[in-house]
Amino acid sequence: MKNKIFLLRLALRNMWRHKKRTLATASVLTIALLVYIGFEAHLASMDSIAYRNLVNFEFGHLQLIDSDYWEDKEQLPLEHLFSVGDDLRERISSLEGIEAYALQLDFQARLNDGIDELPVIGRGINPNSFHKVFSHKEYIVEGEFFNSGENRIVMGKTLADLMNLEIGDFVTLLLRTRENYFDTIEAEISGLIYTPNPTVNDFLVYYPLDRTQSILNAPEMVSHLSLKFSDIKHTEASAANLIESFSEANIKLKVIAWYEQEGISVMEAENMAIQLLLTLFLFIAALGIINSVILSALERMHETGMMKALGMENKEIIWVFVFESAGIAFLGSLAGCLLGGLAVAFLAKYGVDYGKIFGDMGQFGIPLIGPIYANWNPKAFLTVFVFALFVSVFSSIFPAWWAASKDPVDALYGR
Amino acid sequence: MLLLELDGIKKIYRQGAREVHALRGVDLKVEKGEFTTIFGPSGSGKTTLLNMVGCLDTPTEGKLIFEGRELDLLKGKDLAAIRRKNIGFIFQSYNLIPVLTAYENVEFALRLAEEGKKDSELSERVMEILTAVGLEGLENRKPDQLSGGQNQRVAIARALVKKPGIVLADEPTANLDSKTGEEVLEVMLSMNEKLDTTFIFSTHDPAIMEYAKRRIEIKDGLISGDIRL
Ligand SMILES: Nc1ncnc2c1ncn2[C@@H]1O[C@H](COP(=O)(O)OP(=O)(O)OP(=O)(O)O)[C@@H](O)[C@H]1O
Ligand SMILES: [Mg+2]
Repeated sequence: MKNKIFLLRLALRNMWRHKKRTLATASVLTIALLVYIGFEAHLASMDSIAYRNLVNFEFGHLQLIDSDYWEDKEQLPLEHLFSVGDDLRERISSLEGIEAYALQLDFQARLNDGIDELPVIGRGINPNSFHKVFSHKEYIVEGEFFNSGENRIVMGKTLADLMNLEIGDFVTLLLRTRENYFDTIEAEISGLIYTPNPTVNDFLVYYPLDRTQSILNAPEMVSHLSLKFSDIKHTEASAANLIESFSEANIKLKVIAWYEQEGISVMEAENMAIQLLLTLFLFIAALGIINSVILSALERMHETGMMKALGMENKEIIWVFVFESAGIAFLGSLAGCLLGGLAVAFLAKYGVDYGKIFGDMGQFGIPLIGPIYANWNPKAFLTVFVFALFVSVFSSIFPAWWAASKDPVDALYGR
Repeated sequence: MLLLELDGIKKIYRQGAREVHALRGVDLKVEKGEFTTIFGPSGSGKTTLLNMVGCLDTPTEGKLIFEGRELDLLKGKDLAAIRRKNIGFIFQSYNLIPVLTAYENVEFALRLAEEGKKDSELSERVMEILTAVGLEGLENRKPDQLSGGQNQRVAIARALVKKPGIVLADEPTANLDSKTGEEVLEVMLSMNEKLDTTFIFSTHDPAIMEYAKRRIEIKDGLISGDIRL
């Protein structure tokens, strides 16, 4: 043990024989960790914002949909609606931590201002419960929300601007009823909203639920039921609870939790890219380590011969080289973690507003507006640190073994 | 007391198709406490012979008996263990570790030989030997802060600190001026007398040979003369 410590001390001194080489080798690791940690935190933030936008403006914590509706939900199929009876209300009210739930009836429509026509999603809502589940009310930028029964709509500001619409204007929504007949809604714009969720701003038109049900000829029917809990942590248990009670009672409703929503996570797609980037960087770092061990071994050939003459075993000589590489890796990785931490702190404070740089991010499939920050994730630091150390140590073993297994006489006389 | 016996040692190096007979059958007995020089023309086999004695190189043919035990010359690990505990080396170009101080260079060899000993005990022995070779006060200097003669003293201390059965020195004074070379030999001689350590050193220098109590001449891979004074 004491000998190991002595060897470690020797290795640490050896690290500084070639300061520049050591720093160059270490800095590759630093960059690798910095880039990885920064990106990871940034994407995680993008993710959490994307999910928050989903939860607050479209989904709630948990949604119930008819199982058949789910199958082709993109079509908003009006033949697969469901009604909310006392039995279902009771099941929902008895969930732990339930705060509110909102009914919703979606329909495909074309928005017509007399000149242009755009496809939109019509969403019948009951304002009272809607505001308990969703945050739209805080994002009204002009006008006000309608009340139940009023022939008024609320729509996204982006959509309104696109069609040159203003508060008080009348618009026509072209739709098909449940029986597939054409019909129209002619309504006044009561309010415009601009939320952090681009889907809402670009595509959604809100209309009172009661009126929606009657025009679609779907009395008491809804397409979605969104639940909100006092704490998001209740979602998982409640989902499990509902799934079980639905299957016992033979209720044909699908239960979807917010975190099961696909296609929202930027990370899933980008994760591959950053893993690849990290792998590439670490590969370069590994080459750097191998190179540095080989150069050191060649320079210290006589010294290695001397050590063997003194009776040092191969594995002890390997230790010295591996310790040295581990030291370089430790230094580089530590610096990477520190700089990565600074980058995360900076991003967390100031964020980057990609919308300002590239325009509407919705067009890139990134469902958020406003600056993207960074999420602290200590696990990412630790994982990448350990991984970098492991890669470095691992890649030093072979060249160290090569150096150590030279014949002592050959090494001593530099043959 | 007989320390070491070489019996019919031959060493053939192969260089492609060519064979070099570096040693052609050397018989040699070394008693404990001897202070011996090996001399002879360049290429005669001095280094090769010292490496055989030091268990650093293995003969092509012949037996090596160390402290009454015939060595299994095939096992590299066993030979390393013998070198670690029983054999000290002094090299022409000192071969100190440049990033370690004089003290640490000596400590290094002692730690290898005396695994698990207490730090205080080790440091006592290191300081004792450094003082004995005349390096008191210079123990914290690194090799580049010491003169050639001082570096060779560190190397002597490193070879002696583990109290080995034998110390082998291949041209220990070749890198030194003649005065410093003689000083180094005096240190070696005094250690030989004080500690009763066996020394074998090779040299070209007649002035250095003068110090030896036994002179072995080697020519063309064979011992051609062996005089005890
Ligand atoms: N690894 C080797 N491969 C081939 N030939 C070798 C090798 N080592 C030594 N020799 C040869 O063996 C012979 C003896 O060499 P050795 O180094 O023992 O001589 P030496 O007496 O120490 O000479 P010097 O006084 O020049 O140091 C020489 O002819 C040398 O060329
Ligand atoms: Mg020689």
